[in-house]
Amino acid sequence: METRAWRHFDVVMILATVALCIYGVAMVYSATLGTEGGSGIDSRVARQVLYLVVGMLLLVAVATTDYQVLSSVATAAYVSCAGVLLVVLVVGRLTHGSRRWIPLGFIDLQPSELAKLALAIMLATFLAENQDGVRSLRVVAQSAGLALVPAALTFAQPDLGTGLVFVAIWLGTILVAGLRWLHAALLALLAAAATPLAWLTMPQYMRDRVYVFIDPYQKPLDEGYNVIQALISVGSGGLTGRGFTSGTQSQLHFLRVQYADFIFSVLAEELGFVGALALLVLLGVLLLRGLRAATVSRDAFGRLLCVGIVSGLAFQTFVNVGMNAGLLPVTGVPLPLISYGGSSALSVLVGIGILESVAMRHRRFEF
Amino acid sequence: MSRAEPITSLQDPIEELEENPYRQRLLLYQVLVVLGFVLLTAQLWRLQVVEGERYRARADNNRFREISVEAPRGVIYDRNGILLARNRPTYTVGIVPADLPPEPEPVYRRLAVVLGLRPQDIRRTVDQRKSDRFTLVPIQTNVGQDLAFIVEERHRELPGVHVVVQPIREYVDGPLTSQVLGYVGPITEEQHQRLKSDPIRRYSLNDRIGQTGVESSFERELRGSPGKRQMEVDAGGREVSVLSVDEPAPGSNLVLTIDVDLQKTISDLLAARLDRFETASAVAIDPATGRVLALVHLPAYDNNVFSRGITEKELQALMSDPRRPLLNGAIGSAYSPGAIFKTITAAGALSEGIVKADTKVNCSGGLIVPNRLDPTLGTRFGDAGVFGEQDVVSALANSCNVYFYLAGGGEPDGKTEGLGIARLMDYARLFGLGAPSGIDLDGEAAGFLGSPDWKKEAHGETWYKGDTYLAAIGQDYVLATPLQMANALAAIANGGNLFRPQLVLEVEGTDERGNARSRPLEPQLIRRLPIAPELLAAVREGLRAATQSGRTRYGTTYAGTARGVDLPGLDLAATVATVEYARPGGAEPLTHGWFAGFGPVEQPRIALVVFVSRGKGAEDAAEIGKAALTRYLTRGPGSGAEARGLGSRQ
Repeated sequence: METRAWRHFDVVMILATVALCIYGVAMVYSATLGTEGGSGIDSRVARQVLYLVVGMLLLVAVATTDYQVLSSVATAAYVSCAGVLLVVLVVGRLTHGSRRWIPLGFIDLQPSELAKLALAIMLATFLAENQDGVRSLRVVAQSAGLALVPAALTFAQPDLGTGLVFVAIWLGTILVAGLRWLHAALLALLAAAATPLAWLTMPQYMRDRVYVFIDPYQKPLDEGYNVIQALISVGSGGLTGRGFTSGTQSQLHFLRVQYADFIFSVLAEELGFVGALALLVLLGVLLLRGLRAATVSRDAFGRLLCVGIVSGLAFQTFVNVGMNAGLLPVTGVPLPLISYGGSSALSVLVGIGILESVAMRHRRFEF
Repeated sequence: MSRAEPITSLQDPIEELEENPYRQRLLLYQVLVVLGFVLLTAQLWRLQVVEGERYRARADNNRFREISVEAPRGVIYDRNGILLARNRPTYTVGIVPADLPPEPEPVYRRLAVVLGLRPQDIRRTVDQRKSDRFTLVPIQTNVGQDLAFIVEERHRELPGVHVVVQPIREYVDGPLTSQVLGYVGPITEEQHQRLKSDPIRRYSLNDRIGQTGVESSFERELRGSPGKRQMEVDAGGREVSVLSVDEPAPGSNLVLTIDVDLQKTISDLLAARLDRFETASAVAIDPATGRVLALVHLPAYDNNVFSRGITEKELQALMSDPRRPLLNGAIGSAYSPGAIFKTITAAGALSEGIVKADTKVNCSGGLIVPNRLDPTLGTRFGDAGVFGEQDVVSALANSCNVYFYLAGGGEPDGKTEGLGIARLMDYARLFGLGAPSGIDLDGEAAGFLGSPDWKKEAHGETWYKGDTYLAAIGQDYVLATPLQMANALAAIANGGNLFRPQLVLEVEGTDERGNARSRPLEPQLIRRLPIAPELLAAVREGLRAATQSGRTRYGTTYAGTARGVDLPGLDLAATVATVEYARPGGAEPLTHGWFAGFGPVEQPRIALVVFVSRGKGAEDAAEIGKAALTRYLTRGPGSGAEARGLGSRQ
């Protein structure tokens, strides 16, 4: 172990990460007050702390390891994740018409979370080996194929939001890898052309979400409530918020599953603009430090790895906050480190560990 | 293979950019991320700071509320479609704590004035609620319409106070059917724990649930599935608009096997003489199916008091009443059956070959069992009279004891054993004694059947032949409920089928598509008695003879104990029993009285047992039994429903 590498350990990133973890636990606590268990701390708070602690340990372990080893396990990781994504379609627990989790006794495993890392690693490996080829459509198409597999399997659950994260990871990675602007334009045209087809094949509930996004009051659907409730929650927080655990909307349990996708609304209501801004700053710092790691990475593999991971995190952040703030339709993506969820927390922290690993080893030559 | 990269810090940044396009793209990426955050921040600023006030007002004033809509509870009919239990809409004045102003005292005071309560009682009710802040806490139920309107009109001064329409359970005939129907009451914590995971019925801590009777044993069917109403409410919690309604699914209706006309007949007959005894019970069963036609126990209670909310005082009064009206004596109290039990002794003795149909016994007025230690002393077992030569038919008709002493216990000198206590009790068990019958009601007693082992354990004494004698005539060591005796009688009447007494005829529900669908409940046979049909026929003949006087085919004579019961044109079989009940202090012993009868003898339609406790014996029971059987069997077809004249379900 190169002790000198620790000199380049990104302290800012880790501080932001720890701050986000603490923030997340506090918000899960507030969001789960007064649910089923009555008084006392909901079991989810304890579990979230557990996941984060385990995740932090994994983060340190991963940071300690040279990220290069990832390229040798890339294919194995990718294939097994694809396999588990296939398995979850069959044995996954059915919730609200979707199979996303495999129950493993004490915990639930969400394979799409692991697959995000696997895809980032796989794409980074593939594109680093084919750096010259990135200017050719063939390589671009091949990389798109790599992303399409986990994306399609996730869409099949169905889980639209998470499926799009794979697309985001691919887009970010391919763009930094050197996708020709011409090809980017072609891609955009293709997406535009495919939109009507996508619209027609979309399941009804997804279409409802778009309707509801445009006009939440049009139909009294459950999603309509969430949208309206989220806006009211966020807006009523004002500058400084209603007070921790004192948000009337949140404590009223109008938001379905408010400790997960809509936890930002709880935060915004209770801690106001100031609290929300603090969160955005922390997430922004995390993302930008991740991109910095990409910038100073000593090789293409490390660079693309960081970009892939950051792309996934950035997509989730913007989509989740955007949805809570009424800028985007409702999609089920968790807010990194804040939303309750074990698989997500572990996957994000491992990803940050990889970012650290790259940042620590950015000098090829130690003097 | 990655390209070799120069050491970054020694290179000119601009040159870097030109040589390494990825840096350009990374920079662009970083700019985009920053822009994204700026955009989010701007939106948040707009929502929270610029429009914050407006949203806060909406959060306070316009709230979404989802309330549970109670499902109508299934109604209960008797077998002819007469309504026995229904849901009557009433007004309830309640408080939703979340809608109260921060200082609720003035509201409590104003409300107290309107309702005639004390403010501190209202406050206590609200504070001690078990539900969350958004669930209505009832303050006063079954409020009159005028009062309800007054509260509604003054809603501005009473924020948080709501008037809702809530159905209360109404039992049309009150005490007449309370023992069968039971009542609904507030759900207990323990019940809620057990039931809270039911996804269809979705019990909340505020719900009412069947606590006893048919209301309880068929709670699953009677309770429907609550609906949901999503609405927007204002600061006072008043509904501003309805956003969606999930209709509740009503519970299934029940059609009972009870014939309420017969129930009323029997109840009136018992009530007319109630001052002569302590409690009275009667059970009538259709022998062909085991369906219970009537189940009466007096004194009864009015189960409507539980519906409107029983007060502590009323409950105390009911529970401390020495005659125990809350206990359904027809199924829950066991007594010595007396001479009625002789039918079982006879059936057992015939079946085991101890006696045959033509076996004659000299009923000489009594037996003496010699004392084992001193043969000159002995215990005398008496009889109601000297009947001379008797066979099983005349012995049953006369209710001669000696025949049954000998059939059940053998000769006093021990030369024969007769049926023996073990086999006697086995036959009693075959007829359903000693165990609950399985009727769909809670609180059924199992009764008691003694045995030598039991006597040794409980009293440390050995079993004597005299004990078997007493058991054989049902005077001791046997305790049975009126229901058990009626069920046994039905098995004799129908030729050997012991059914589980059935209270519910049909469950009327709706399927998923809302179409009416009724599920008839079939009779359940507990067992076919292993007794040859011709032997049971002899027992029946004995009971038939009990209503008359004459000569049996084997030449013995009888003057039946139930002679007055028979009527021309009505073929009845019956027997009566008087069981003595010693009172302390040497006062004149009181007696329990039994009547057991069925008819018509060929193809019986009803088997009836009447029991009166601590009265003057069998006379009253017999009179009541005869009147009830007569009334039922001479009633025209369909007159059951007409006689009531109201409440038909059509």
